[in-house]
Parts: sequence; C-alpha cells; structure tokens
Amino acid sequence: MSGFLLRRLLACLPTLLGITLVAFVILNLLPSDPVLTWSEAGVPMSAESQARLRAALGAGRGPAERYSDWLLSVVRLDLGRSLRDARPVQEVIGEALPWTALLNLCAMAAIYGVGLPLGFLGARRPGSQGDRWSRRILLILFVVPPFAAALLMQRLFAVRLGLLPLQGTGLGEATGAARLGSLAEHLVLPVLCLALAAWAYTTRYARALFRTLFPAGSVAAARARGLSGLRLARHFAPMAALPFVSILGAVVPALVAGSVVIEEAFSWPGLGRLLVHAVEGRDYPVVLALVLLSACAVLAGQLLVDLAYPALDPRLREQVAPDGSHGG
Amino acid sequence: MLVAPSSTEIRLPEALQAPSGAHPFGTDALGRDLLARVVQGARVSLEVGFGATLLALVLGALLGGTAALRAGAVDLLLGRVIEVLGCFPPFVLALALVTVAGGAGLMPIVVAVGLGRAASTARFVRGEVQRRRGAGLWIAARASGAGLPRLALRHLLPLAAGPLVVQAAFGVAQAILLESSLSFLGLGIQPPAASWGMILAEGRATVEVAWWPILFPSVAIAATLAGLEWAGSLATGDE
Repeated sequence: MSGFLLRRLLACLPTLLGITLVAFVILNLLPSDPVLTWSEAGVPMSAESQARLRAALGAGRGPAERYSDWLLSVVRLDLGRSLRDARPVQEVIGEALPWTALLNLCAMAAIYGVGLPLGFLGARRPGSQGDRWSRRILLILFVVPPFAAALLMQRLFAVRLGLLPLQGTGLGEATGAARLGSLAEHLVLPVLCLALAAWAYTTRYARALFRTLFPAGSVAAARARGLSGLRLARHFAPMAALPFVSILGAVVPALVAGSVVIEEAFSWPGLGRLLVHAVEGRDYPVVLALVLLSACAVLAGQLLVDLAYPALDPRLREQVAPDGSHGG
Repeated sequence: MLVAPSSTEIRLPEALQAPSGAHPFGTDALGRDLLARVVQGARVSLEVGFGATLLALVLGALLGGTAALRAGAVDLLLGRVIEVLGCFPPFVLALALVTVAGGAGLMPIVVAVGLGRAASTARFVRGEVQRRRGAGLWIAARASGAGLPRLALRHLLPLAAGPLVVQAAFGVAQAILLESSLSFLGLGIQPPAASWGMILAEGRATVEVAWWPILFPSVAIAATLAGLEWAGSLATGDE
C-alpha cells in the first residue's frame, strides 16, 4: 500500500514540473518591456532604476536560465516580490490564504451538506415528485452565474431586506465575542454563492454514485449476516464515503475558479481578490505564484481522489503476493 | 435578425429608467436601451463561445487522437501534456493571459477556454480511440491500406460525433460563463462594446437603486446556459 502511495506521489512530479513550465511560459509571454509599460502608466523612474528593475526582472538572461533560476527559488519557497509594494510574495499570499481557506471550507461543508443527502434521497426514490422538483430547482441554480447570483442576492438580502451585510468580513466592525457573529453573518452570502452552482452537479453525481453503490438488497444481505446498528454503519461507511471523495475532483477546480469572482464581489480579502488586483496592476510575480498555487490545488485534489479510492474500495486495491511483491 | 428598438446611443436624460413600453428592459446608467445592449451582448457571447470551442475541439482531438493512435512513448508524453493542461482552471488561465496580453479583448478568453476544454476533449477522444482500435472495422480499414490520417477522419470522426457535440455544448457554456466573469471583473472586453458580464458589472455600481441592469443579463446568461445544458443532456440521453 505504501509502495502504491509512493509511486503515485512520484508520478505527480513530472506533472508538477509541467505545471511550473506552463505557468512560467505564460507569464513570460510579455509582448513588451514591462518597464516601459509602467513608465507609460506614469510611474516615475530614472534611467538608473529602470536598468536595475530590468536586471531584477531578468531581462538580460536567456529564457532557460531564467526558468531554472526561478524554479530553484520556488523550491526554496521564495516566490519573489510583489511589484506593487515590494513585499515578499509569500507574505502577501500568506495573509490572504486563511480567508480563502475559511470561505472554501465553509463552502465545501455547504456543498456536501446539501448535495450528498439530496443525492442519496434521489437515488432511493428516483423519479419521485421531490426528486424531479429538486433537480429542476438545482438546474436553475446551476445556470445562474455565481457573480450574477452574488449581485442578485446582495440586492435582495442586503439592500432590500437589510438582513445580511453587503460585503467585507465583518471583523472591523465588531469587538470581542461579537466579532464571531459578525464574521458568520458576513460569510453567509459568499458561501451560498460558491455552493450554489456546485449543488446541481454534486447532487447529480451523488445520485448516480449511490445508485450503483447500493445495489438493491445489499443492506438486507448485511443485516441477514447479523450486522446491525453501528457495525452496519461501519460496514457501509467506506462505500458511503466514496462519493465525498470522487466529487472532490470536480469541486476543487470549481471552488478555485469561483472564489475569484465571489471574493471580488463581496470584497472578501482572500486569494481570489488578490489575484484580481494583481491582474489589474500587472503584478506578474503575484499572478504567477497564484496561478501555480491554483494548479497545484487542483492536482492535490486529484491526488487525494486517486489515493482515497483504493483505500475505500477494496476492489480497486492491487493484489499483493504472499512474498510482499505487487502483482500489478 | 431582431432590430433593437433604439440603438445604444448614450442618452443621459433617460438614465436608469425602469422597464417600460419604450424600453422593455429599461435603461442603464448612461441612458442606453438595455434590450439593445443585451442583444449586442448575445453576439459577443456567441463569438467567444464558438471560437473557444472550435479551438478546444481541434486541439483536443489532435492531442487525444494522436496519443491513442501512436501509443507507446508518444502516448505517455501526450498523456502528461493533457494532464498538465487539465490542472489549470480555465478561469485562472484566462486571468494569467489577460495579465500578459496588455489590453484585454477576447483572445485570452478564447485561448484559455480552448486550452482548458482541450484537456477534457483530449482525454475523451483518447479513450474512444483506444476502445475502437481493436474493432473489426478498424482492422479491415487498415488492411485495405488506409493511412492513419484517413483512418481518423473517415472512420473515427463519425463515430465520435455525438459525444463531441456534448463537449461542444459544454464548451460554449463554459466560454460564455468565463467571458461574463471576466467582463464582470472589468478584465474582459472594453467599453463601449457590450457583453452580458459587462452590463452586470456596470449594474453593480447602481445595485442599490436599479434591479433591471442586473436581472436581464443574468436571465440571458442563465437561459443560454440552460439551453446548452439541455442540448448536451439530450445528446447523452440523461433523464
């Protein structure tokens, strides 16, 4: 099992390398001298500082050299400095990361909390009124783009009804214990918007999965064998956990992309908003770092799925010969 | 083609009027007729959608098909390429391209969505071609001396047409969504061109006083996506 783990992890390395290459190439397709772009934008620079900036940006070196230099520094977790305020990129990202993590974890809870039960119910009673109606509603939710949903909800809940705050995190407005409540309040709309689109396909996916996982009679068969209560639940737990895991593969990229727009719409100080501002300000190092990060997050999600599957479903495990060697 | 009631001239005195007979969708903050702008936006969405999907289909079919037909080392290498491409969320890719492209425009969107969808198309094509390699039809065609490109075009393409249509439908949907998201962030097409996302972005500034600049483009996007989704599910035979 650990051999499998190791090999699967090693198999990621070429992909990881490929990701760094693609990210680097894209962010270096600069059609013009970045220094010129700035001086056009009105940033005053003497000829001397222009030369220094060019050197810092590596204008004099060849692309292969720049790539390897950059790669080495990335491995050391040195992602360069933001072009906006010269702070280390790691620091800037480190500040925004917890906010994005909080938002996305809550969104995942919302996605699974609604999607899986709905999918389960749909699998047990396919074609029922409840099933059909929930799917229609979910389809509508699915096709409304997240930012439109954000605007509509802001308009409805924040402006019209005054029930929920318009934007921000709420931490600046309250003190002490009330801060937690304020934070929770401010989380509601962004989390809802992120989860909205995911609910449609999560439910559909879960439904299909549950239908194949629980062939009619398997529960009865287990009961007939004498399993009941907690032992019954534990017997089916790995199978039931499977949908949680396989959906991750689709949910992670969707959350990564969705966070960008939602955070911007709600002024949530996370990585998404950071990315938008970096793009606007042509802050290449930050954009590059964030692109890398998002691709790695997607890769990590896929890896988790690949690793968890055999762990949860014994049918997928490789045969291990008596002498300990693998048969695959 | 529908003729919009009034052109999209700026008429400040008529700014932010609620929907009425003269302006079925109301007017925006500059007094432009919203219906006319939404119709204009439709055109942008279609251009982006089809451009990106075309790129995705061609690239994806090439990558996946070549990988499956050549097999061996080529398959391994191309498989990695497909995997790497698939790791970049198209939206993030588009943002990266916008950063380097200077003035925005539609190209970053077309390329980003194209690349992103190319990965999933390639995986699908590769799977399909691998499945059919051993089939009798294939062997017979090979035996009659057909070369690889001919084989691909005349024998494989018709078989894969159905699912490719599905891929196309989703591709167009994704492209439209991406373009509106980018325009919403102010990073897509530039004014005075209209796109649904742009109208929404403009509507954001007046969210507290006007609901129509937000509702109508949202409905337009949602309806288009729903239609594409429905078309896609028809092809796969989902209930």
